[in-house]
Amino acid sequence: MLGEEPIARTRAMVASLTVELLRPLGEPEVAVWNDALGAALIDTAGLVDHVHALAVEGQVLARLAERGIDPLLPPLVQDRISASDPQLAGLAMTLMAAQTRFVRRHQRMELAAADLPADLFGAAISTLARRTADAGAEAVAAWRAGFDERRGRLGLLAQLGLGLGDDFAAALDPAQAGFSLFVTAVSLLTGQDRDEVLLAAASGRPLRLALLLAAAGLEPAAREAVILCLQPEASPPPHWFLVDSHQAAELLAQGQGG
Amino acid sequence: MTTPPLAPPSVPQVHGAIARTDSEDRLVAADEPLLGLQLRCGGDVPGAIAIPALREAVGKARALGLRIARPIIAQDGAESVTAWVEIEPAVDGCQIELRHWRSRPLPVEDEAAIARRKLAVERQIAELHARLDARQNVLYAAAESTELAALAARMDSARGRPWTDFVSIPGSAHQQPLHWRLLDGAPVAVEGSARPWRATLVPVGLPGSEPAGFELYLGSDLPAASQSEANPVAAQIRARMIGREVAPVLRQPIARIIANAETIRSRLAGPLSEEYSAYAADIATAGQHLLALIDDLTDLEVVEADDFSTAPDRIDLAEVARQAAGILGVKARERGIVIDAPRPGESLPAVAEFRRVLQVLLNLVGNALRYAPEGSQIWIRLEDEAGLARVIVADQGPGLDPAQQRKVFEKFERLGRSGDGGSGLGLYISRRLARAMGGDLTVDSAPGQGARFVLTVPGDLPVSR
Repeated sequence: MLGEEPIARTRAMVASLTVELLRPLGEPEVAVWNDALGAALIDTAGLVDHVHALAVEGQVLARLAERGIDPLLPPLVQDRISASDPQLAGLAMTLMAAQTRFVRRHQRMELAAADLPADLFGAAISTLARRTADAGAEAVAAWRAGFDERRGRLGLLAQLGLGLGDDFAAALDPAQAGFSLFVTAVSLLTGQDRDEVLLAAASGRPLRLALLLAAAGLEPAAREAVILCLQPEASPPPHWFLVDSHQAAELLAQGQGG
Repeated sequence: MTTPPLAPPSVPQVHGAIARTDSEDRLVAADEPLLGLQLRCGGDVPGAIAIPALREAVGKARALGLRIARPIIAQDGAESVTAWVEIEPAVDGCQIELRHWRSRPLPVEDEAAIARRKLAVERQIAELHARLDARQNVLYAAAESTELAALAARMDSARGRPWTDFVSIPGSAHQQPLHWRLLDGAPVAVEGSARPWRATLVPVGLPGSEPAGFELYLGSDLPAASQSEANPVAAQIRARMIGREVAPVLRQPIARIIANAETIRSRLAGPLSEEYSAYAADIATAGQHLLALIDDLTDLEVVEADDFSTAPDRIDLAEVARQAAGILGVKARERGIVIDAPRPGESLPAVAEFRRVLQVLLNLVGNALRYAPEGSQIWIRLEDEAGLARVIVADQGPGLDPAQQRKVFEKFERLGRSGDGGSGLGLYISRRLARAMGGDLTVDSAPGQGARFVLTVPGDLPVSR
């Protein structure tokens, strides 16, 4: 997961974020502040971790697409778009658009500031404010006023997930829900950080994924199916699937503490 | 499925339950089902947000000035609740909207986990902690609140005696200490404290073998009267502006500044260069001074009020003096000053209010500690004369000339000193308190000869020696 590709992508995505944040100051200013802000953003706590997770998410979406799992319009989202409730259909459409932009940006190794979680957006904007001082004051205010976590891709995923109601079980099947919504759903059910779930689901940590799925309340057979879908190279031994939901939640909590 | 991932909503799907918070992140209005959850979590409306995930999100939205939208997960003891929350910060608080409210029953926790969490809570709220040996004798004790400072000082100064000698265990006539399992969780009464306390004993050593010793924690389910902790008199104020409006608002942020500065100073959050640690210590000290000033102003308001009166009782001045010396013992040791208090066994009955006499003595001894040279001595002496009981606090400080002696009891009088954290109110308040109890507070001194402050209160004649 710390392969060269995600690292190179992470760098490029932070660089694109730097330029995006500076653009309201005007082109000449971008060149002035670019290096300093880029370096400061790399040092901003949590930002690189999140960007790295997004780079991995993009990679997984591309990999799954090759195996026929639609990154943009998986069956569950399709179903919502044709729902009779206009609000729900609208939300699903907005999500699809956001997801399309995300995949497109991933291909171009870019990242949109508006898609960041509020904490990281706030941290990035504070860094911008500190670095550019008076020159950037106006841009900083505009960025803050324009931010709305509801409209970010992660916010849309969570809203759609929470709005699934009785269909929530479908979100735990990546082939039905698509990888992005699947990760959000597991995170919602287990209370684990979405980036943590994402990295466990992406590759190399099938045991952790098995625990997460158990904690989310999935049946053993379904857990195995999900693992084989996401990490076909893994060969999980049967005893991994003996833990029940509560035991799994506890093991995850311990792992977090220690 | 073993458990349905999210049970059908236990309340009808709510579209946009609305709530509002004020500028201090207190919930001032809330629709159901949020209102119910807030109450079940032990909160109130209006009141501080009792749902941790929501409090964090609201705090963030306000601090960052950003519109925040995210799922929150909360528990109310029986159920786990998931909801989508959107927070819009404004100048005077936040507008909150909740949707997709779902709850499901909480899994039953195993006993070990519950025990671990209970212990963590006890450790967090403990106001006194002590280390005991295998026979429950005190090896070390320290208090984290002024209310238990005297107890900790007594325990710490008589190391080697069982901890149960220093407290009483209501309802138990047995020879103490009992087996630790019987004492773990036992209710405990502490002399000088009206709050009920609870002992928690944690065995030290390899599990399964005889404990090599114990950690002892004393905690209470009742919060300290918020102002009595720092200042006994302040707790009695109800209807006054500073005491009721200003002090509570200031106290919390200042306490937070102090706590955070202490965290930095003690490098709890990670290594830090010496310089910054020293800056943090300065911040903490300045914060302490601010708190003390608030206490003084609050007291000033009390003693100057028309309806100010005291509640005299039969007290033993010697005991009050010993308590004051005990409470300030640590500070005295830091400066290498010896406080010579009345010996145990000595007594001087008087009619006065215990807490106010203690407050006056704390002020007098505190002043002496501030101005007396390091390595000097402070004497607390008792006198009984013509129906009057006197406590004399004498130091070896620079002393006061006659002009200073006339001015020293005036309001805001600093005698030209500055920067030492004094407010110039302590002696003024102390004299008002003494006079309200039918006594007086005077000073005699000469420059270079130290100062003698004399607190006089009515003696308790019928049982006088």
